[in-house]
Amino acid sequence: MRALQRRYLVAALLSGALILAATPAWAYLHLSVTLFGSVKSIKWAQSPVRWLSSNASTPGVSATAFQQAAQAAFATWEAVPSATVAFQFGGFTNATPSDDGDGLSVLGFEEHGDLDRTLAATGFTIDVVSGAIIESDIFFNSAFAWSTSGAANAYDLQSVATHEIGHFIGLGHSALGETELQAGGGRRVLAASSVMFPIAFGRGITLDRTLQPDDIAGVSTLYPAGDLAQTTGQLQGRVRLGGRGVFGAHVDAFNLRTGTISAGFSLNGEGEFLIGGLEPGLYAVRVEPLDDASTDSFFDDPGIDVNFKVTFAESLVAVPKGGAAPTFDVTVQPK
Amino acid sequence: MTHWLRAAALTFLLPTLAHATTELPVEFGEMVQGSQLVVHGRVVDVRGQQTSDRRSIETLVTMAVSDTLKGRPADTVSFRLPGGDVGRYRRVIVGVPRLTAGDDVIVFLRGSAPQLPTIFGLSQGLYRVMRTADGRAVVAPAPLMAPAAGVERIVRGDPARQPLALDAFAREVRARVEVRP
Amino acid sequence: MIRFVAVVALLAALPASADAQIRRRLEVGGGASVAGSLGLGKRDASLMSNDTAGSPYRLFSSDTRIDPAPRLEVRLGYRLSPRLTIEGTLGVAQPQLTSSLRNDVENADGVDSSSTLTEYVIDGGVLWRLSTNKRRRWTPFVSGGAGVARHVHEGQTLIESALDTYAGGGLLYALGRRTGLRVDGRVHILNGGIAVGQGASPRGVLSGSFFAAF
Repeated sequence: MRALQRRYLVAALLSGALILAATPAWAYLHLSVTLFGSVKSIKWAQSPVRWLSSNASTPGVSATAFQQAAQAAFATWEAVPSATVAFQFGGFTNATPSDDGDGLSVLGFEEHGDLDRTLAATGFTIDVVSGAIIESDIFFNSAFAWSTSGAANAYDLQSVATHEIGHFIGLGHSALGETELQAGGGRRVLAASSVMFPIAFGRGITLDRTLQPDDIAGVSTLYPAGDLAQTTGQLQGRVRLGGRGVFGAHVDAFNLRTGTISAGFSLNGEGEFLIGGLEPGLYAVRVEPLDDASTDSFFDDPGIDVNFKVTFAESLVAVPKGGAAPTFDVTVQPK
Repeated sequence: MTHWLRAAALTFLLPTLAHATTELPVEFGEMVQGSQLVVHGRVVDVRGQQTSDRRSIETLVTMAVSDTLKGRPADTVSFRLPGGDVGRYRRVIVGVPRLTAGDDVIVFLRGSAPQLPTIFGLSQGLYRVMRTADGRAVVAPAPLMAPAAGVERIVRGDPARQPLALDAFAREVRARVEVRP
Repeated sequence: MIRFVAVVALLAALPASADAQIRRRLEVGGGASVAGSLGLGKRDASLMSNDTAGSPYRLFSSDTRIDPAPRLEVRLGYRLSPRLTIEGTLGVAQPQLTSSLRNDVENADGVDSSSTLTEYVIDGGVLWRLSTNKRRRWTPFVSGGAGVARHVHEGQTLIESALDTYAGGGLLYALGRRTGLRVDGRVHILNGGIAVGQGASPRGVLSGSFFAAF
C-alpha cells in the first residue's frame, strides 16, 4: 500500500468516523449522507475535533487575527451547555482549505474570484466505503473585504466563521429570515433569527457572533449533552395540502412564554416534521413555503412543494419535558 | 503529488445532503447580465474527476442543450461543479447543487476559457424544469426580480409569485440580455 | 404569609357576642361558577433586524388568554368566630386556551389557535361576615386568599402551576338553621405558570353554591 494510502486511512481513523446511529431523517435540518440506503447525519464521532489555521492573510486581517476570530467562533459552539461538541486548535499550516485529501481540517483565506457571490464555504471529504469523515475545510473568500473588529465596510469574520463552523459540525441551513429586493439589483437581509440563515447580514454587522435558540436546538439535538432528552421536548406533525403531504415546508415553532423561535422542515413525502431540543411549554406553529430561496441550497431533492400560503396551525402545541407533544396536522391552502 | 487514490470503483448512491454556504444572493437581472451562457437542456452525464492541479475533486456535468437563452448556441455544453466522487472518496462542498443524469434544468454559467464554466453563485444559477399535473413545463424556483424603484420585501407564500412557464422564463431571460446596464 | 396567618389568628381570638355563639362550625358546600376570560399576556414573534442593534423585527403577534368556562367547586370551611371563617376551595374546569395570532409579516390569515386545558384551582382563604344579625337571612361578606392553579394541557403532556390570589365578596342566604345558598364574585390574579407575561390580567369569577353547616 502506498504511503499516501496508509496516511489517508490513518487520517480516516483518527479524524472521526461518520456516526451511523439511527438519526431520524426528519430531524432538524442536519447535513446527512445516504449510506446503504439509510439516511445518516454527518457528525463527528471523535471529540475534540482538531482544526488548523492556514498562514494566509488578507488586507486588514492577519493570519493570527484570523485564527483568533476562528477560535472565538469555535468557542461559541463549544459553550452551548446542552451540547457536547468540542474542538482543538492544532496549529498553523501552509496547507490551504482546498488541499483536499491531506487529512487536515483547515480554515483559511483563499482567493475565489470566480465565486464572487460566495463569502465562504465548507467542504467535507468522506470515505464512502468506511463512512469516515477524512477532513472538513472552510475557505473564506479573500475577494471580499474582511474585518475582525466590526468595521463598517467589511464582512465580520467571526460572524461568518460561526455560520460556517455550524456546517463544519453538521448543521444545514435555517430559513428563519426575511429579505427584500432592491431596485437596480441586489437582495438584502431584513432580519434573521438564526446564525445558520444562508444570507449574511450586511457589512459591519456582528450579530451572528451569537447563537440563537434555533442554532442551539440544532447543535444540541446533533450532539446532545447527557440530560438533553430529559430536559427538553419535541413537537412533531405533518404538513398537508389537498390530502397529501408537503415536502420541504418550513415550520416555525414559537414559544408563547419565552418568545423564542425554533424551526424545522417537513422532510418526506408525508409532510412529516419534527423539531427537537425545545424548552417545555406552549407553542404556536406556523408553516411557510420556501419559495424565496434556491431550494438546491437546502435540499438535494428538487421536488420541494412551494405552492401554498403561509398558515398558522389551528391548535396550540404543549411540548412536555422529556417527551414529544402529540402529533398534529397543519393543513395549508394552495396559493 | 496525487492525493486521490486508485481505489475500486465502488459506487454508492449519492447522499441526501442539505447544502449550505454563506452566499450573497443575486437578483435575476444581475445573474442574466453576469452569465456568459444560459441554456436549457437535459443532463446527460455527471462524472467526478480530479481538478487540473490535482489538489481537489470536481464534477464535470454535460448537458444536451434544447435551447440557448444567452450566448453561443451549441448542441451540448459542459460545466464544472466543485466537489464530487473519485473512487471511494467524495468531496462535498456545502452549497453546491447535485445533478444527476436526466435532470431537466436551466443553468446560468460563467467563466472564461480555457477553464470550463461554473454555475453562477453555486446554486443560485440553477433552475429546474418541472411538469405540472396538466403537463405544462414550469421553471422553479420563481425568479426574484428587482422592483423598478425602491425596495420590495419578499413575502413568502405570495400568490403572485409562481413558477414561470418555461417559455415565459425564457422571455424574461432574453429581455434582460437585450438590456445593457 | 406570616402576617396573613397572624391576622387570622387575631380575628379568631376576638370574643364572640352572646347572641352570636357558633354551634355549627364546619361548613361544606358545592356548586358551580363561571370564570371570565383571563388574559395571559401578549408577545411578538420577532427576528433580529439587520442593524447593529439587532432591533426586533416582528414576524407575527400573539395575544393569549383562557376563555370563559364553567367550573365545578367544592368548599370546606371552619368558622373560627361569628364573623371569621377559614375555608379551602377546589375548583375544576376545562376552558379553552386561545392565542390570537395576528399581524403576520407574510400575510398569513390571522387565527385563534387553541387547545383545551384542565384547570384545577386549590385556594385557601378567609371569609369575613359583615353582619352577625340572625334576624336577617341575607349576610354580606368579603373574602380573600391564595392558592395554586394547576393547568394540565391536552394529552397530559404538560402541567404548569401558578400562584393564584383572589379577593371578592358576596352574599350568604340562610335557607334554614343548617343550610344556605352562597353567591360570590371574586377577582383572581394568576402569577407564573401558564401566564406568558407582558399584560397578564385579572379574571372575574362568579359563583353560586349550596352549603351546609355541621
